[in-house]
Amino acid sequence: MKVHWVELENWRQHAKTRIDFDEDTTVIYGPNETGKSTVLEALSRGLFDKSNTHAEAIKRIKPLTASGAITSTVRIEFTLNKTSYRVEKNFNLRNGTSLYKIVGEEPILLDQDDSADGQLIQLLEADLPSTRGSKPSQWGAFHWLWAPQENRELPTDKEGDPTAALHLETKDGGGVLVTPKFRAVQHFVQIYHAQYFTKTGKTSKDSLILSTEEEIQTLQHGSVELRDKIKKVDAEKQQLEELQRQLPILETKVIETKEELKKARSEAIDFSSVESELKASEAGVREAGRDVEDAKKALIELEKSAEKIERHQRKEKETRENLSRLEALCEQLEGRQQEIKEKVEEKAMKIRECEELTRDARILWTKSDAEAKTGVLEKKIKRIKLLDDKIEGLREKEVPITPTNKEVENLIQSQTRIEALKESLTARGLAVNVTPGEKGSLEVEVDGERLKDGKLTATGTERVSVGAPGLGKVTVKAKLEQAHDAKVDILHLEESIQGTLSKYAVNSIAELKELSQTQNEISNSIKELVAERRGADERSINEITLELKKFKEKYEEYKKIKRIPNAIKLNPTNVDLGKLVNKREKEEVEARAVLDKARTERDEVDKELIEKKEELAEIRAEQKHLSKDLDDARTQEREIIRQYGSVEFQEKKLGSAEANLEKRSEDCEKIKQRYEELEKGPIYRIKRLEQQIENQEQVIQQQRTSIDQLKGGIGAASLGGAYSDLAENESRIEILSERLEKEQIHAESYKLLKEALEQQYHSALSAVVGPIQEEVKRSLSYVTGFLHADVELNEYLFPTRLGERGFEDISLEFNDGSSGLKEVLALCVRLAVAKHLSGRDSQCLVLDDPFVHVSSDRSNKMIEVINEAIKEYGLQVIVFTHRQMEFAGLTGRMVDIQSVK
Amino acid sequence: MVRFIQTSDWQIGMKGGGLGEAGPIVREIRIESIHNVLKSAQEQKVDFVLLCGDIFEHNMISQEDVKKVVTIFNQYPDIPIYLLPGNHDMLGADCVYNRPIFQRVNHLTILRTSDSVKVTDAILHPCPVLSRFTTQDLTGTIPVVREVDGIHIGVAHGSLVGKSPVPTWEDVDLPIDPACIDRTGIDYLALGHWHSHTTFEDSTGIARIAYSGTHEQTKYDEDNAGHCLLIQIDGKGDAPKIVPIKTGQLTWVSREFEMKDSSSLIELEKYFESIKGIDMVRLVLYGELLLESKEELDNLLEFQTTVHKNSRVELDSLNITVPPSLEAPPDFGDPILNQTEIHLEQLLANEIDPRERRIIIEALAHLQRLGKEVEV
Repeated sequence: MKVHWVELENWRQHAKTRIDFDEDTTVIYGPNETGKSTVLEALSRGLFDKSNTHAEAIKRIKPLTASGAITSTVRIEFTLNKTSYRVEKNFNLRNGTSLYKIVGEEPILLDQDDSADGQLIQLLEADLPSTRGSKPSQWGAFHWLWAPQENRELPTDKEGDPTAALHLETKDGGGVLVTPKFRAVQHFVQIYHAQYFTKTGKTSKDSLILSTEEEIQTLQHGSVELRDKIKKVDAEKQQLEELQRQLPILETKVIETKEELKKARSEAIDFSSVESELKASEAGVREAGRDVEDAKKALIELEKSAEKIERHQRKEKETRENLSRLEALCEQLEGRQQEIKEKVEEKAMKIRECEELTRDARILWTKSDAEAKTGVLEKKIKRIKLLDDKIEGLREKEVPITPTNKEVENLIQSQTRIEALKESLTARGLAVNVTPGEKGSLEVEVDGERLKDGKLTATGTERVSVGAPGLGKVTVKAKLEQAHDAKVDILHLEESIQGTLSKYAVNSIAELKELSQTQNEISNSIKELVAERRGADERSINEITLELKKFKEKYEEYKKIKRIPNAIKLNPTNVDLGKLVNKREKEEVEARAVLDKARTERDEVDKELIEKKEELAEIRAEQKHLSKDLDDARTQEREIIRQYGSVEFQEKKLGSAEANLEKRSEDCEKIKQRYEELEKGPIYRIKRLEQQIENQEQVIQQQRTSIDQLKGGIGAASLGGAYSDLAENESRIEILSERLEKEQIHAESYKLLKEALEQQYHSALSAVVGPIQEEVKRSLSYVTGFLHADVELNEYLFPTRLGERGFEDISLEFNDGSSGLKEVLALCVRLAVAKHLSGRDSQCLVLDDPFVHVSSDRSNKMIEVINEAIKEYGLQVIVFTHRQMEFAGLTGRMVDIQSVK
Repeated sequence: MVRFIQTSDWQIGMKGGGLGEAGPIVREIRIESIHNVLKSAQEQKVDFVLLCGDIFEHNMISQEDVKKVVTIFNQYPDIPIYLLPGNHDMLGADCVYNRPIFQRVNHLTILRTSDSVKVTDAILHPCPVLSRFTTQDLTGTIPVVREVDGIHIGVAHGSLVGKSPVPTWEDVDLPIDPACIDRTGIDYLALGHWHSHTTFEDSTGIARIAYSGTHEQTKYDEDNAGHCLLIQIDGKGDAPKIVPIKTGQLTWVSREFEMKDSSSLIELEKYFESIKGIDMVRLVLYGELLLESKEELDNLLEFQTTVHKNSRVELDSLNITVPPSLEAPPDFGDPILNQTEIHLEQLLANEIDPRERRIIIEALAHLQRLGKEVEV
């Protein structure tokens, strides 16, 4: 294929663009976002997309500035298999395809719309896309030859088999390498294979093989268990047989032992008399022992009794002594109690006396105080009345409003201002002061303001210098506004003054001033009087009068109270009554304290006396008990003595019992020795044999029990029918194994056939793929300076491995290579594919910035390889790039995208 | 005079190894054939039936199988049955005859000891097997009865020493001295253990020792099986009349068949036609067969599995051949298919493992079939 030209209309930033392509190479360059990739997009859509595509990407090809839908058009003229065509496709608003054949110079319409899309796709040997837009994997051979941004990577096996698209099955000369018959046979074999195996080659879960194997395994497990059961029974049978064999032997042994015992018994001498003697001697020893114990026990009893009496006596004595002591103490406490009682009475009397005196002193004081207060209050009332009158008089002289000093001051100032203004007006309407200044300068003021270059300012003055020997004519110009202002000001001021005077109902400022002064004086006087009144008393006269009344009533009341003689005698009236009251109160408090102390002492004594009396009563009771106990102990002692006799008697008895015991023990020991000697001999043997018989019989019993248990267990196990189950299992296993073998043979035969077919297919294919691989190696080797002389392509022409020369067989996985290497390799593969296809028709390679990561030395070599390809097999190359100089080595056209838009 | 039926080695419950799908069938038929034995006894109006051991395959047999046998026994209540346990159904704690069900069969007597048993007009001298392995003559317990009145019959289960296939005492687990007759003076020795019916003569040339063999053949190449014996002894010292009666239901055939060329298939077919009534068929094919004829052979053999109860054809000795490619290059109309055929043929030529050869042959057969059948 050769692409001759392309036209875009209303396609993104291309309002109307035409590019004519060179037969060999065309490099379309420009900065970013100038529409280079858009041209490539238009080329691919123009060839591979249906015009009625409604994908979002298609809608976005409308010009950016367009509002609403708009038709985007692409036209391409190209030659395919020596025939020239033109295609026009309209997208979006008005869509449709027109396919023309170019005859001579004229385009002859071949087809339109869907049919045209289909025919074009057929010519291109691509796949017809859906209305959602085409993908590079549907472009047939162009999937390898055209590399826009979205197709920078080489197609992988996931994107389909290139065999048909790249005519790999076609031998040189056009013969078909792989026939439909092969495909059909392979298809059937794959179906049969799929009945047994999954895609990864594992046995399929649905196949009979797995289920049969599982069943066999289950049965084998079952068989193992059954065999174990049978073996167990066999083992138990052996054990049983062994026990059954041993049992008669054991029984025979018992009989023999019994015979031996019989014999031993008959041989043993009669040692029963020695045994009896020993028993009697032992009894005698025990009896003697008891006598000794009895004697000891009696002595202990006697001792205990004596101790008891002694103890009681001691205790009784102590009690008696305690009793005496307590009685003396109680007597002492009673005496003390009486004394304190008298003392308390005395103090109580004293208190009463003090209370009376205190009460009398208070009465005197209260009466005196009331009298004094009455006098004070009467004076106060008089004074307050006077003050109130004065204040009343002054308030009558007050006016409602009083001019403040400030107001007065303002009026005065206003008046002064008026006079000044009037003066200035009087002069000429302006007040001009001309004053000779220093060194002949002239100061000119107007209304108090100095002139400044003929202009009056609000503040300050301007010095106007006039140099003359004498004062000449001085012309002063001033604004009349001042005058106007002055009059207005005068008016305002006069109004203001009048207003103020009216306010205070005076006629002049002097009157106002006087008014102010007078009112101020009145006000100050009132303040002073009010302060004095407050100082006297803040209350009203009525309140004070009420208080006065109360004091008077109180005085009268206290005056009526009669005094007792003692009080008259002891409380004088001509002293400081307040101090007298304090004195008496103090005396009273002291007397009370003394009384309280006496009472406390009295209570303590009472309490102690009670306690001691209680203690006394307890001790008396205890003494009584002790006496009784002593009597009892004495009675008991008499009883014991009667029972056991005296201590001396018992001591004597003990001595003889101990002597007896010693003798009897010696005798017993002798008899025992004789007995033991007898026992070691025949007696011992008899006992041993008896024990042996017992043990043997026990073993026999255990043996019989084991035999019974084993018999029972074996019988029960036998009933289980394990053998029949095993036979059935094994029979089934045999059947299944035969079936499995058949199925496995069948499955493996299909697997073998499938693999054989694939192997032969790839072998045939390698005859075609091989040269492509060699071509890739050659160009890659050259471009990389022979660093990579080996490359492996899979059947999808995708590089899988790179060999690295100079190292010991270290090969790289394709994905381990650098980005630059991958780009170079991808281009080598594309060129090799183009070369392979060039046998059928010349090819067109379209690249979008192919050397993004490639170093300049390699990209230069790549350019050489491309040029070689162009020369050798008529390849057409179209490159889109933003780096024009990189492709300067390519022969052909350079197109600045911006110039053709 | 005494008349009785002698039988043994029923081995009810046996697995039937090597019979594949026919195993279960054989097992059931062995039970059914017990009727043939007891019917024969009924028809021949014998005095009793003597079972000489291995009636059951194992003591741990299922109760279901036991019940089936007892059910049949109960259908012939008038025929006394004397049963000697063998080495498969050996006496012991697990002995199948310990099961209570046997106690209730009134006309069945289990010969558990070597004590003589008086039967109608004869005396039985049982020699029960008490141990799987013994070097002692099992008939050693039979007393000398030369001077004792009556017809004396020994009953044992083991191998006659010195008689094929067991030559010496050392090779035998359950030895029986063939000189027993001469030593004891018994009139007849009824034996079980061997599956083929055989008789042996005493020193005077009279056949007084016999194996009845199994009542139903148990496997291929078991000659003279499937019988019981009708024994008649007229009086003490008389020569026993030994008449075999067929009881086996299944018919068996086992042979080799040579395949020479494609015409052999026709012969094979004819042969199958001739044995179409046989129940159990085993054939070993040997020789050569062209691959192209394999499919036809497979079809024929598949059909045969529907004709017989068991049809086993062994093909390991049969050499499937393919003509050399030079002589008849494959032509499927596709070069890759052709190459595949050549590749598989080469594999076959270099393969000696029988299983692998089968796989390759099948693969070739599939290829040839698909190559012919698939049309485009």
